[in-house]
Amino acid sequence: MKQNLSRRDFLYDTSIAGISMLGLSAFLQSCAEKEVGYTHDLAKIYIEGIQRIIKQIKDKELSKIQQAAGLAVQAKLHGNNLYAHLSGNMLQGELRKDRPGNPNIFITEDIQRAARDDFVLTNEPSVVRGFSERLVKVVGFSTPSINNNNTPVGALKNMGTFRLEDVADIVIYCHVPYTDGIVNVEGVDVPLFPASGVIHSLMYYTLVSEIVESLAQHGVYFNIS
Amino acid sequence: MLGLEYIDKAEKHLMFVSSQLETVKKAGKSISDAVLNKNKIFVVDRYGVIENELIGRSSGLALFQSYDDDEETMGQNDILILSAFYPAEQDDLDIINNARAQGAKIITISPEGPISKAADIALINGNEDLNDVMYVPGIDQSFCPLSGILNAVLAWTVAAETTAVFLSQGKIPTSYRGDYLPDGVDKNSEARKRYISLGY
Repeated sequence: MKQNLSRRDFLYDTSIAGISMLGLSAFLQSCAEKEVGYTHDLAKIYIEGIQRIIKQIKDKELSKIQQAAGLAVQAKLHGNNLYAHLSGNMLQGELRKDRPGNPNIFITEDIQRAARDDFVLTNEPSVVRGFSERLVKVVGFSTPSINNNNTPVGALKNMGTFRLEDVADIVIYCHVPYTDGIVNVEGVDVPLFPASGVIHSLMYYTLVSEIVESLAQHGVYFNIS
Repeated sequence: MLGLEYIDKAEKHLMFVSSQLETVKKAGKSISDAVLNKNKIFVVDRYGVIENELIGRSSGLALFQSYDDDEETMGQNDILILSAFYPAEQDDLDIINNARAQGAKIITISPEGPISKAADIALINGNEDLNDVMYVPGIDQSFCPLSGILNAVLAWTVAAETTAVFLSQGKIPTSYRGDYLPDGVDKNSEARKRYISLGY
Protein backbone atom coordinates (compact mmCIF):
# COMPACT_ATOMS: atom_id res chain seq x y z
CA MET A 1 0.00 0.00 0.00
CA LYS A 2 1.42 3.39 -1.03
CA GLN A 3 1.81 5.78 1.93
CA ASN A 4 1.90 9.61 1.93
CA LEU A 5 0.64 9.93 -1.63
CA SER A 6 1.89 13.11 -3.25
CA ARG A 7 -0.45 15.36 -5.22
CA ARG A 8 1.36 14.48 -8.44
CA ASP A 9 1.04 10.72 -7.70
CA PHE A 10 -2.64 11.17 -6.83
CA LEU A 11 -3.37 12.95 -10.14
CA TYR A 12 -1.37 10.35 -12.07
CA ASP A 13 -3.18 7.44 -10.39
CA THR A 14 -6.62 8.92 -10.92
CA SER A 15 -5.96 9.74 -14.57
CA ILE A 16 -4.72 6.18 -15.20
CA ALA A 17 -7.84 4.84 -13.48
CA GLY A 18 -10.01 7.10 -15.61
CA ILE A 19 -8.37 5.99 -18.84
CA SER A 20 -8.72 2.35 -17.76
CA MET A 21 -12.44 2.83 -17.06
CA LEU A 22 -12.95 4.44 -20.47
CA GLY A 23 -11.18 1.51 -22.10
CA LEU A 24 -13.23 -1.03 -20.13
CA SER A 25 -16.44 0.76 -21.00
CA ALA A 26 -15.59 0.76 -24.73
CA PHE A 27 -14.67 -2.92 -24.55
CA LEU A 28 -17.94 -3.87 -22.84
CA GLN A 29 -19.89 -1.85 -25.39
CA SER A 30 -18.18 -3.62 -28.29
CA CYS A 31 -19.01 -7.01 -26.73
CA ALA A 32 -22.66 -6.06 -26.38
CA GLU A 33 -22.88 -5.03 -30.01
CA LYS A 34 -21.41 -8.18 -31.49
CA GLU A 35 -22.64 -11.74 -31.66
CA VAL A 36 -19.89 -13.72 -29.95
CA GLY A 37 -19.12 -16.76 -32.10
CA TYR A 38 -16.22 -19.18 -32.35
CA THR A 39 -13.52 -16.77 -31.29
CA HIS A 40 -11.60 -18.88 -28.78
CA ASP A 41 -8.13 -18.49 -30.23
CA LEU A 42 -6.62 -20.48 -27.40
CA ALA A 43 -3.66 -21.96 -29.31
CA LYS A 44 -2.44 -18.53 -30.33
CA ILE A 45 -2.89 -17.25 -26.77
CA TYR A 46 -0.78 -20.16 -25.49
CA ILE A 47 2.10 -19.43 -27.87
CA GLU A 48 1.98 -15.72 -27.04
CA GLY A 49 2.08 -16.59 -23.34
CA ILE A 50 5.16 -18.77 -23.85
CA GLN A 51 6.82 -16.01 -25.85
CA ARG A 52 6.16 -13.51 -23.07
CA ILE A 53 7.68 -15.78 -20.44
CA ILE A 54 10.75 -16.44 -22.59
CA LYS A 55 11.25 -12.71 -22.92
CA GLN A 56 11.16 -12.40 -19.12
CA ILE A 57 13.75 -15.18 -18.78
CA LYS A 58 15.93 -13.36 -21.26
CA ASP A 59 15.54 -9.99 -19.61
CA LYS A 60 15.60 -10.97 -15.95
CA GLU A 61 17.24 -14.39 -15.52
CA LEU A 62 20.01 -14.64 -18.09
CA SER A 63 22.62 -13.01 -15.89
CA LYS A 64 21.77 -15.41 -13.07
CA ILE A 65 21.97 -18.35 -15.47
CA GLN A 66 25.45 -17.15 -16.44
CA GLN A 67 26.35 -16.80 -12.76
CA ALA A 68 25.11 -20.36 -12.15
CA ALA A 69 27.15 -21.59 -15.10
CA GLY A 70 30.18 -19.94 -13.52
CA LEU A 71 29.63 -21.96 -10.33
CA ALA A 72 29.34 -25.18 -12.33
CA VAL A 73 32.46 -24.46 -14.35
CA GLN A 74 34.51 -23.71 -11.24
CA ALA A 75 33.26 -26.91 -9.62
CA LYS A 76 34.20 -28.99 -12.66
CA LEU A 77 37.61 -27.37 -13.10
CA HIS A 78 38.39 -28.16 -9.45
CA GLY A 79 37.50 -31.81 -9.95
CA ASN A 80 34.07 -31.70 -8.37
CA ASN A 81 30.88 -33.26 -9.68
CA LEU A 82 27.90 -31.65 -11.41
CA TYR A 83 24.52 -33.10 -10.42
CA ALA A 84 21.02 -32.41 -11.71
CA HIS A 85 17.75 -33.45 -10.15
CA LEU A 86 14.91 -32.03 -12.20
CA SER A 87 11.55 -33.65 -11.67
CA GLY A 88 7.95 -32.87 -12.37
CA ASN A 89 7.98 -29.62 -14.21
CA MET A 90 10.94 -30.34 -16.50
CA LEU A 91 10.00 -32.10 -19.75
CA GLN A 92 10.60 -35.70 -18.74
CA GLY A 93 12.85 -37.49 -21.19
CA GLU A 94 15.09 -34.48 -21.79
CA LEU A 95 17.60 -35.74 -19.21
CA ARG A 96 17.78 -39.26 -20.63
CA LYS A 97 21.30 -40.24 -21.57
CA ASP A 98 20.13 -41.28 -25.04
CA ARG A 99 18.27 -38.02 -25.66
CA PRO A 100 19.62 -36.76 -28.99
CA GLY A 101 21.74 -33.63 -28.43
CA ASN A 102 22.09 -34.13 -24.67
CA PRO A 103 25.71 -33.31 -23.77
CA ASN A 104 25.35 -35.38 -20.58
CA ILE A 105 27.15 -32.89 -18.38
CA PHE A 106 25.24 -33.79 -15.21
CA ILE A 107 25.10 -36.85 -13.00
CA THR A 108 21.39 -37.51 -12.59
CA GLU A 109 21.49 -40.37 -10.09
CA ASP A 110 22.36 -40.47 -6.40
CA ILE A 111 22.13 -36.73 -5.86
CA GLN A 112 22.45 -37.37 -2.12
CA ARG A 113 26.10 -38.25 -2.73
CA ALA A 114 26.86 -34.62 -3.55
CA ALA A 115 29.76 -33.46 -1.41
CA ARG A 116 31.49 -30.22 -0.54
CA ASP A 117 31.96 -27.91 -3.56
CA ASP A 118 29.94 -30.15 -5.88
CA PHE A 119 27.30 -28.38 -7.97
CA VAL A 120 23.62 -29.34 -7.83
CA LEU A 121 20.85 -28.10 -10.09
CA THR A 122 17.32 -28.83 -8.97
CA ASN A 123 13.71 -27.76 -9.23
CA GLU A 124 12.71 -29.83 -6.21
CA PRO A 125 14.16 -28.03 -3.19
CA SER A 126 13.12 -30.66 -0.65
CA VAL A 127 15.83 -33.00 -2.01
CA VAL A 128 18.61 -30.52 -1.21
CA ARG A 129 17.69 -29.71 2.38
CA GLY A 130 20.90 -29.55 4.37
CA PHE A 131 23.13 -29.28 1.30
CA SER A 132 24.24 -25.74 2.10
CA GLU A 133 25.56 -26.96 5.48
CA ARG A 134 27.63 -29.49 3.51
CA LEU A 135 28.90 -26.59 1.34
CA VAL A 136 27.35 -28.02 -1.81
CA LYS A 137 26.59 -25.30 -4.36
CA VAL A 138 22.87 -25.39 -5.13
CA VAL A 139 21.12 -23.71 -8.06
CA GLY A 140 17.33 -23.82 -8.00
CA PHE A 141 14.79 -23.39 -10.78
CA SER A 142 11.58 -22.05 -9.30
CA THR A 143 8.43 -24.08 -9.95
CA PRO A 144 4.76 -23.16 -9.75
CA SER A 145 4.15 -25.67 -6.95
CA ILE A 146 6.86 -24.59 -4.48
CA ASN A 147 6.80 -21.31 -2.62
CA ASN A 148 9.38 -18.74 -3.61
CA ASN A 149 9.73 -14.99 -3.08
CA ASN A 150 7.50 -14.28 -6.10
CA THR A 151 4.60 -16.59 -5.12
CA PRO A 152 1.47 -14.54 -4.40
CA VAL A 153 0.64 -14.54 -0.70
CA GLY A 154 -1.78 -17.35 0.14
CA ALA A 155 -1.68 -18.92 -3.30
CA LEU A 156 0.00 -22.09 -2.01
CA LYS A 157 -1.35 -21.94 1.52
CA ASN A 158 -1.34 -25.74 1.84
CA MET A 159 2.33 -25.99 0.85
CA GLY A 160 3.78 -24.70 4.10
CA THR A 161 6.31 -21.91 4.42
CA PHE A 162 9.35 -23.66 2.92
CA ARG A 163 10.82 -21.58 0.11
CA LEU A 164 13.26 -22.32 -2.65
CA GLU A 165 15.38 -19.41 -1.46
CA ASP A 166 15.90 -21.26 1.84
CA VAL A 167 18.09 -23.90 0.18
CA ALA A 168 19.53 -22.44 -3.04
CA ASP A 169 22.65 -20.31 -3.52
CA ILE A 170 21.20 -18.99 -6.78
CA VAL A 171 17.50 -18.98 -7.66
CA ILE A 172 16.48 -18.74 -11.30
CA TYR A 173 12.82 -17.79 -11.54
CA CYS A 174 10.76 -19.48 -14.24
CA HIS A 175 8.14 -16.69 -14.41
CA VAL A 176 5.39 -19.29 -14.83
CA PRO A 177 2.33 -18.44 -12.69
CA TYR A 178 1.60 -20.63 -9.68
CA THR A 179 -1.28 -22.23 -11.56
CA ASP A 180 1.17 -23.46 -14.23
CA GLY A 181 -1.60 -23.05 -16.82
CA ILE A 182 -1.36 -19.80 -18.76
CA VAL A 183 -4.60 -19.64 -20.76
CA ASN A 184 -7.88 -18.51 -19.25
CA VAL A 185 -10.67 -20.72 -20.52
CA GLU A 186 -14.35 -19.89 -20.37
CA GLY A 187 -16.08 -22.04 -17.75
CA VAL A 188 -12.87 -23.28 -16.10
CA ASP A 189 -11.81 -21.66 -12.82
CA VAL A 190 -8.03 -22.12 -13.22
CA PRO A 191 -5.94 -21.31 -16.30
CA LEU A 192 -5.15 -24.28 -18.53
CA PHE A 193 -2.19 -25.51 -20.60
CA PRO A 194 0.99 -25.53 -18.56
CA ALA A 195 4.14 -23.60 -19.37
CA SER A 196 6.57 -25.04 -16.82
CA GLY A 197 7.73 -28.03 -18.87
CA VAL A 198 8.62 -25.86 -21.84
CA ILE A 199 10.20 -23.11 -19.74
CA HIS A 200 12.21 -25.38 -17.44
CA SER A 201 13.64 -27.15 -20.46
CA LEU A 202 14.53 -23.82 -22.03
CA MET A 203 16.23 -22.69 -18.80
CA TYR A 204 18.04 -26.03 -18.53
CA TYR A 205 19.49 -25.93 -22.05
CA THR A 206 20.36 -22.25 -21.71
CA LEU A 207 22.40 -23.13 -18.63
CA VAL A 208 23.90 -26.19 -20.33
CA SER A 209 24.92 -24.08 -23.34
CA GLU A 210 26.76 -21.66 -21.08
CA ILE A 211 28.52 -24.43 -19.17
CA VAL A 212 29.60 -26.37 -22.27
CA GLU A 213 30.91 -23.23 -23.96
CA SER A 214 32.88 -22.18 -20.92
CA LEU A 215 34.33 -25.60 -20.21
CA ALA A 216 35.33 -26.06 -23.86
CA GLN A 217 37.38 -22.89 -23.54
CA HIS A 218 39.21 -24.67 -20.71
CA GLY A 219 39.69 -27.82 -22.76
CA VAL A 220 36.99 -29.86 -21.00
CA TYR A 221 34.63 -31.71 -23.35
CA PHE A 222 31.60 -33.96 -22.91
CA ASN A 223 30.17 -37.00 -24.63
CA ILE A 224 27.18 -35.77 -26.63
CA SER A 225 24.32 -38.21 -27.35
CA MET B 1 27.01 -15.91 -24.35
CA LEU B 2 25.86 -19.18 -25.84
CA GLY B 3 22.86 -19.18 -23.50
CA LEU B 4 21.51 -16.04 -25.12
CA GLU B 5 22.01 -17.64 -28.53
CA TYR B 6 19.98 -20.66 -27.42
CA ILE B 7 17.10 -18.45 -26.24
CA ASP B 8 17.24 -16.45 -29.48
CA LYS B 9 16.98 -19.67 -31.46
CA ALA B 10 14.02 -20.79 -29.36
CA GLU B 11 12.25 -17.50 -30.06
CA LYS B 12 12.96 -17.77 -33.78
CA HIS B 13 11.65 -21.32 -34.01
CA LEU B 14 8.55 -20.43 -32.02
CA MET B 15 7.71 -18.08 -34.87
CA PHE B 16 7.84 -21.09 -37.19
CA VAL B 17 5.57 -23.02 -34.83
CA SER B 18 3.13 -20.10 -34.95
CA SER B 19 2.89 -20.65 -38.70
CA GLN B 20 1.35 -24.08 -37.99
CA LEU B 21 -1.80 -22.73 -36.36
CA GLU B 22 -4.12 -23.56 -39.24
CA THR B 23 -2.97 -27.19 -39.06
CA VAL B 24 -3.33 -27.06 -35.27
CA LYS B 25 -6.98 -26.05 -35.75
CA LYS B 26 -7.55 -29.08 -37.98
CA ALA B 27 -5.98 -31.32 -35.35
CA GLY B 28 -8.13 -29.82 -32.60
CA LYS B 29 -11.30 -30.27 -34.67
CA SER B 30 -10.38 -33.84 -35.51
CA ILE B 31 -9.71 -34.71 -31.84
CA SER B 32 -12.88 -33.08 -30.51
CA ASP B 33 -15.00 -34.77 -33.18
CA ALA B 34 -13.44 -38.12 -32.34
CA VAL B 35 -13.99 -37.72 -28.59
CA LEU B 36 -17.61 -36.68 -29.06
CA ASN B 37 -18.06 -39.80 -31.21
CA LYS B 38 -16.79 -41.89 -28.26
CA ASN B 39 -13.41 -42.52 -29.84
CA LYS B 40 -10.15 -42.50 -27.90
CA ILE B 41 -7.08 -40.28 -28.24
CA PHE B 42 -3.72 -42.02 -27.80
CA VAL B 43 -0.35 -40.35 -27.38
CA VAL B 44 3.06 -41.86 -28.03
CA ASP B 45 6.59 -40.48 -27.88
CA ARG B 46 9.49 -42.92 -27.70
CA TYR B 47 11.51 -40.45 -25.62
CA GLY B 48 8.63 -39.84 -23.24
CA VAL B 49 8.62 -36.07 -23.57
CA ILE B 50 5.16 -35.38 -25.00
CA GLU B 51 3.51 -38.43 -23.50
CA ASN B 52 4.43 -37.20 -20.03
CA GLU B 53 3.24 -33.73 -20.85
CA LEU B 54 -0.19 -34.49 -22.28
CA ILE B 55 -1.35 -37.45 -20.21
CA GLY B 56 -2.77 -36.75 -16.76
CA ARG B 57 -0.85 -33.49 -16.47
CA SER B 58 -2.06 -30.69 -14.23
CA SER B 59 -3.51 -27.82 -16.29
CA GLY B 60 -4.08 -30.32 -19.08
CA LEU B 61 -7.04 -32.27 -20.46
CA ALA B 62 -8.26 -35.65 -19.24
CA LEU B 63 -8.95 -37.03 -22.70
CA PHE B 64 -5.44 -38.23 -23.65
CA GLN B 65 -4.22 -41.75 -22.91
CA SER B 66 -0.98 -43.66 -23.36
CA TYR B 67 -0.53 -45.72 -26.51
CA ASP B 68 2.12 -47.85 -24.82
CA ASP B 69 -0.20 -48.75 -21.94
CA ASP B 70 -3.43 -49.21 -23.90
CA GLU B 71 -2.37 -50.05 -27.46
CA GLU B 72 -4.54 -53.16 -27.58
CA THR B 73 -7.69 -51.11 -26.97
CA MET B 74 -7.15 -48.93 -30.04
CA GLY B 75 -9.96 -49.19 -32.56
CA GLN B 76 -11.52 -47.80 -35.72
CA ASN B 77 -11.43 -43.97 -35.92
CA ASP B 78 -9.45 -43.55 -32.72
CA ILE B 79 -6.63 -41.03 -33.02
CA LEU B 80 -2.92 -41.51 -32.39
CA ILE B 81 -0.79 -38.45 -31.70
CA LEU B 82 2.83 -39.38 -32.36
CA SER B 83 5.66 -37.05 -31.40
CA ALA B 84 9.05 -37.70 -32.99
CA PHE B 85 12.40 -35.92 -32.96
CA TYR B 86 13.63 -37.39 -36.24
CA PRO B 87 11.80 -37.41 -39.57
CA ALA B 88 12.15 -41.07 -40.48
CA GLU B 89 12.95 -43.42 -37.61
CA GLN B 90 11.69 -46.88 -38.44
CA ASP B 91 10.33 -47.50 -34.93
CA ASP B 92 8.05 -44.48 -35.29
CA LEU B 93 6.95 -45.56 -38.77
CA ASP B 94 6.17 -49.03 -37.41
CA ILE B 95 3.94 -47.49 -34.72
CA ILE B 96 2.11 -45.47 -37.37
CA ASN B 97 1.61 -48.51 -39.60
CA ASN B 98 0.37 -50.56 -36.66
CA ALA B 99 -2.11 -47.86 -35.59
CA ARG B 100 -3.26 -47.40 -39.18
CA ALA B 101 -3.89 -51.14 -39.44
CA GLN B 102 -6.13 -50.85 -36.37
CA GLY B 103 -8.16 -48.16 -38.15
CA ALA B 104 -6.77 -45.14 -36.29
CA LYS B 105 -6.18 -41.69 -37.71
CA ILE B 106 -2.70 -40.27 -37.25
CA ILE B 107 -1.58 -36.84 -36.08
CA THR B 108 2.18 -36.34 -36.03
CA ILE B 109 4.39 -33.71 -34.41
CA SER B 110 7.80 -34.08 -36.03
CA PRO B 111 10.23 -32.73 -38.59
CA GLU B 112 9.11 -32.96 -42.21
CA GLY B 113 9.81 -36.35 -43.78
CA PRO B 114 8.41 -39.88 -44.08
CA ILE B 115 6.76 -39.70 -40.64
CA SER B 116 4.90 -36.46 -41.40
CA LYS B 117 3.99 -37.76 -44.85
CA ALA B 118 2.42 -40.86 -43.30
CA ALA B 119 0.10 -38.71 -41.14
CA ASP B 120 -3.46 -37.57 -41.71
CA ILE B 121 -2.54 -34.31 -40.05
CA ALA B 122 1.13 -33.35 -39.80
CA LEU B 123 2.43 -30.65 -37.47
CA ILE B 124 5.98 -29.70 -38.43
CA ASN B 125 8.25 -28.61 -35.58
CA GLY B 126 10.78 -26.75 -37.69
CA ASN B 127 12.64 -26.48 -40.94
CA GLU B 128 16.01 -27.83 -39.78
CA ASP B 129 17.44 -30.48 -37.45
CA LEU B 130 16.39 -29.34 -33.99
CA ASN B 131 18.11 -32.02 -31.93
CA ASP B 132 21.42 -30.20 -31.66
CA VAL B 133 21.19 -26.51 -32.37
CA MET B 134 24.29 -25.24 -30.56
CA TYR B 135 27.86 -25.31 -31.77
CA VAL B 136 31.11 -24.62 -29.93
CA PRO B 137 34.51 -24.42 -31.66
CA GLY B 138 36.60 -27.42 -30.71
CA ILE B 139 33.63 -29.76 -30.29
CA ASP B 140 32.94 -31.82 -33.41
CA GLN B 141 29.31 -32.46 -32.59
CA SER B 142 26.64 -29.83 -32.08
CA PHE B 143 24.40 -30.20 -29.03
CA CYS B 144 21.36 -28.95 -27.05
CA PRO B 145 17.99 -29.79 -28.60
CA LEU B 146 15.02 -27.53 -29.20
CA SER B 147 12.84 -30.33 -30.56
CA GLY B 148 11.34 -31.31 -27.18
CA ILE B 149 10.40 -27.74 -26.37
CA LEU B 150 8.84 -27.11 -29.78
CA ASN B 151 7.01 -30.44 -29.84
CA ALA B 152 5.63 -29.66 -26.38
CA VAL B 153 4.44 -26.22 -27.49
CA LEU B 154 2.75 -27.79 -30.51
CA ALA B 155 1.16 -30.47 -28.33
CA TRP B 156 -0.29 -27.85 -25.99
CA THR B 157 -1.58 -25.77 -28.88
CA VAL B 158 -3.42 -28.87 -30.07
CA ALA B 159 -4.92 -29.33 -26.60
CA ALA B 160 -5.86 -25.65 -26.55
CA GLU B 161 -7.50 -25.82 -29.95
CA THR B 162 -9.36 -29.00 -28.99
CA THR B 163 -10.74 -27.07 -26.02
CA ALA B 164 -11.72 -24.18 -28.27
CA VAL B 165 -13.78 -26.50 -30.49
CA PHE B 166 -15.50 -28.00 -27.44
CA LEU B 167 -16.34 -24.52 -26.16
CA SER B 168 -17.77 -23.54 -29.53
CA GLN B 169 -20.22 -26.42 -29.09
CA GLY B 170 -21.15 -25.36 -25.58
CA LYS B 171 -19.15 -28.13 -23.93
CA ILE B 172 -16.19 -27.97 -21.55
CA PRO B 173 -13.63 -30.78 -21.69
CA THR B 174 -12.53 -32.14 -18.33
CA SER B 175 -9.22 -30.76 -17.12
CA TYR B 176 -6.89 -31.30 -14.20
CA ARG B 177 -5.22 -28.82 -11.89
CA GLY B 178 -2.16 -29.09 -9.69
CA ASP B 179 -2.68 -31.34 -6.67
CA TYR B 180 -0.65 -28.73 -4.79
CA LEU B 181 -3.31 -26.04 -5.24
CA PRO B 182 -5.78 -25.48 -2.42
CA ASP B 183 -8.50 -28.17 -2.92
CA GLY B 184 -6.52 -29.52 -5.89
CA VAL B 185 -6.75 -33.16 -4.81
CA ASP B 186 -10.52 -33.01 -4.32
CA LYS B 187 -11.10 -31.15 -7.59
CA ASN B 188 -8.99 -33.69 -9.50
CA SER B 189 -10.95 -36.52 -7.95
CA GLU B 190 -14.17 -34.86 -9.14
CA ALA B 191 -12.60 -34.31 -12.56
CA ARG B 192 -11.81 -38.01 -12.97
CA LYS B 193 -15.41 -38.91 -12.13
CA ARG B 194 -16.69 -36.28 -14.55
CA TYR B 195 -14.47 -37.59 -17.33
CA ILE B 196 -15.64 -41.17 -16.81
CA SER B 197 -19.24 -40.02 -16.78
CA LEU B 198 -19.11 -37.73 -19.82
CA GLY B 199 -16.32 -39.28 -21.86
CA TYR B 200 -14.68 -35.87 -22.36
